[in-house]
Amino acid sequence: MEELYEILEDIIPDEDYRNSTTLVDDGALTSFELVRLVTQICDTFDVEIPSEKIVPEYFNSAAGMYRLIESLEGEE
Amino acid sequence: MSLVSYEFAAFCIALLVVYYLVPGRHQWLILLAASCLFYACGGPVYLLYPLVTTVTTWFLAGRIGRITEKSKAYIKEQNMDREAKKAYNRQIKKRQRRLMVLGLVFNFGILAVLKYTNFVLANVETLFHMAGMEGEMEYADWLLPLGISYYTFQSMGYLIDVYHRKYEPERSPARLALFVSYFPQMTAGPISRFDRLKEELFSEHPFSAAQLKLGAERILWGYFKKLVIADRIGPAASVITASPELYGGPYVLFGMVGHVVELYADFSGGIDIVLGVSQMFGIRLPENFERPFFSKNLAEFWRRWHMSLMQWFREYIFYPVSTSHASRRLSGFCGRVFGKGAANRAPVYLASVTVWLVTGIWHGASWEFVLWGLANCAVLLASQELSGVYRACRKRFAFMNRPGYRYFEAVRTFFVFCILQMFAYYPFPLVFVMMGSMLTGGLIGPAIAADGAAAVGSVAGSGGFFGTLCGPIGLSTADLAVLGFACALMLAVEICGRSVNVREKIGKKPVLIQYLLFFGLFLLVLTTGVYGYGYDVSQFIYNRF
Amino acid sequence: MKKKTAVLLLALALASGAVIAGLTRLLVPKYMGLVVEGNFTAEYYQETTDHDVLILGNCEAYENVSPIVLWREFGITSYIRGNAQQLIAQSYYLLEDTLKYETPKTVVFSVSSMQQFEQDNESYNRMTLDGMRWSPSKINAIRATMMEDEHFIEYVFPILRFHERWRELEPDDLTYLFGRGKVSHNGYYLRADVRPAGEFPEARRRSDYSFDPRAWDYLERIRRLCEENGITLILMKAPALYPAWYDEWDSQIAAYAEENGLRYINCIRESDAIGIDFSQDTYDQGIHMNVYGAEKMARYLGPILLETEGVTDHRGDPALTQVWEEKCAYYDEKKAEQEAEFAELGYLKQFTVQ
Repeated sequence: MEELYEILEDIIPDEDYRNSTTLVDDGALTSFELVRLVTQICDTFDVEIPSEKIVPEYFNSAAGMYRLIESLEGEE
Repeated sequence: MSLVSYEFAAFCIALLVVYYLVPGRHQWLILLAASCLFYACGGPVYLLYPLVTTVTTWFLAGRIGRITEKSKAYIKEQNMDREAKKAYNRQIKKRQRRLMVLGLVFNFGILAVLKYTNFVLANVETLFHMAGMEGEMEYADWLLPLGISYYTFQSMGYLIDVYHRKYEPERSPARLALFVSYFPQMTAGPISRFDRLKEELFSEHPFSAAQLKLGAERILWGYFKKLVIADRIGPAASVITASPELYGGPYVLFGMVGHVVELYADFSGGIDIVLGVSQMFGIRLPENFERPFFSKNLAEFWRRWHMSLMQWFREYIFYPVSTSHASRRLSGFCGRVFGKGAANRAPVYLASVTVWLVTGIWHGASWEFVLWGLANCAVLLASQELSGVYRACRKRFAFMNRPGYRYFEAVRTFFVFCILQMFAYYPFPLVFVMMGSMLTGGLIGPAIAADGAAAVGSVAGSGGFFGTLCGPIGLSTADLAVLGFACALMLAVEICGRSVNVREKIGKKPVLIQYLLFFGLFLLVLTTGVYGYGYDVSQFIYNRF
Repeated sequence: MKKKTAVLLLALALASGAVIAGLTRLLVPKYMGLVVEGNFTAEYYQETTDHDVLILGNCEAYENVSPIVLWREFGITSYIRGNAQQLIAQSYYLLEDTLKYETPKTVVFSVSSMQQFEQDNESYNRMTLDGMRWSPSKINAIRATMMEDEHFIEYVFPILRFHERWRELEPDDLTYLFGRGKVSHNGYYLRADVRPAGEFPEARRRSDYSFDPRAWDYLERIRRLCEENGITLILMKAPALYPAWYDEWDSQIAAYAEENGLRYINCIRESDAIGIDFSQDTYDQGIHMNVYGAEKMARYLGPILLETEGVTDHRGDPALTQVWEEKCAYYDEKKAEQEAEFAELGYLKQFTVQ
């Protein structure tokens, strides 16, 4: 989780990424940030995020992202 | 076979009878046979194209699937640790990727050769001429197989998904053939995903009067949009945009809006027919439009317009490109040279430009469409860049949060789309000239005033103020009245559709009311539809693809 | 509840059928003004008595012979089944159709339709075929002569063809909603105006003077159908200055007639014998006859027709006389009306584009 926060801190330092559950809906994560986020998650956690998983459901909150990462790691 | 033809109606009715007479587990075979027949109508040669795509896709996906299976078994057998597993998987993926790329290159190659050969030849010729060389090129004279873009995209999506192990490949080539060539989708999409369509296509569908009714309603609504609105306003708008030297000022506005109304009514009407026909067989296809003109910005608009195609682009082009190694390297490079901001933007810019180049060229093999795509891309990126400013404004100005502002946004999106469409039908520099003409209200060329008076007489029932204005573009006062009423009806239904499902709501009314509504709409299409000998039946705009 | 819904749906379906039928009636052209030819085919079915002579063909048939004079002066009962640009295939099927109701003694076929087998204007097809009663003959006629972008179903449901006429509805569409008036005189199109023959461009030489094999085929079918029914077939070319009837065409028809023992009358060659005066006997400068020319034609054809087996003078038959006297009166009335109008205005209002 801390690794994920580090990434988020790097990309959206001004946002309350720890508590917000509407990061995408509010426009805090536009496709610019989203793409960087996905790239960095893939690198850091060594997973592959399939494009159909790049949806608000997972990216609205840090918890959602973590859930996604865990599920992807479990698949290996 | 066009969706607007007596043959198509007869074909569907006959098919429905057979479909519900055979045992449920054989229904999909009937659909497969019907799809082949549908395709063979244009000439048996045309069956060859989807057949080739089916066979190559089936074979390659099958190979990829078997490699996956074997490798899984091997990993289990060898009891590898995590690192070894990763290394092994990487190697396997590489083999599978080669197979997938082969399929993509081959099938998109066919599409590219068929659709773009003449475009390339024309450009080469222009280059030669610019270089001072004489001579004419010999152009290819291929007829495009129906729906080649749709089935190619759909089957390549399947191949990529199998590569990504989203689902198992289909073992039966016949079943895959039905997925590739399911006939309602052949004329105007939508582009379906295998895992979802499979459930629908291969399950049993008992006869259901309710489904038939809902399907018929949707078909009728589609014909209404297509025949009453699109085919009436389309030719008029084309007259205007075909002669920019004659039609300026308010005509440009009419042409611009007319084209967009036509595009929407034609395309979404076609989709309504397709989805309605499919519903009669008990098969749900994905929606392709979600009231796009109520979007608050262009980005949202493109998420609600031609949804299945744009989703395809997002899934198989935008994200793969933006997260690819190439764009990471580009990002790194930009970061070193231009700083952090550029590094962040580079992948998205690269992916956006790629998607919109493809979108442009998908819509038409011409530089106008390439420019149209890029213009869309520019607006989207600009609005993304400004999203911070926008959010700040929202916080600052209270009126931007009021409901009325939403309407403003919707209207603004509509006009942004309208203006962008101009790139598609006016040559590049002229777009700006025509925008100027529209804003200054530049008067109609003198030639049209004289011509106009003569042309008015040729259109039956024209006369009066509107008749005089619209006579030259082939619309009578009566046509304008029909258009006004029909567009208002379409708008009203869409507005209602935001909060309730209109067809379901009608379905709860007494049978008599339901019937009268249906029959009234039927009479409206029957009498005011633009079809048959009195009019030339125009083809659906989107089945060129 | 279920049963109630079913009854309701059935009633609604019937009501919808009635609405569509009514709408169709309203929207189909009434052909009661400038163009009346669209009513010819249907008018035949109003006949109450049989005819000895049936004249078949295109405008060269229905504008050039007066059945009233044939009756009045020779006692011959005749009917013309002709329409604008009536193709030879349509003539064949109209003959088939006629044979369901009566068997004439003689059929006079106007051969000018040999020169064009395919339709070039869809509205001619509609005018010829829409009035036909439904039968296998009608189905075959439609299928044989439909143009490429016509559809059979548009004949079954004419509203599919004429639906866009809501924009151009006229008072006539209401006046004749439930029935149309009589427009012909036993299929004859009466015109009492005069426009003397003018100069026509010299007939262009053609590279090929042969008729379409399909036209020959239908001529042969007409001949055989007549033969099977014991009908004498006469071939006729009407006296028209234009379009040209080439000698090469003439000799082919003459050869065919001789081969099959038919009589072939080329009225262009006979125009002196008929007594046609092209400065008086045409209403459109020599393309078609007016009533004066058509009466002369009837006087010329009368004796020839009487020569054929079975064609007799029926003036002694009281029932027939009564029917025909009515026809004569109507004819005289219309002719006098047109003559008076032409004398006063120099043109006929009904047939002039205002």
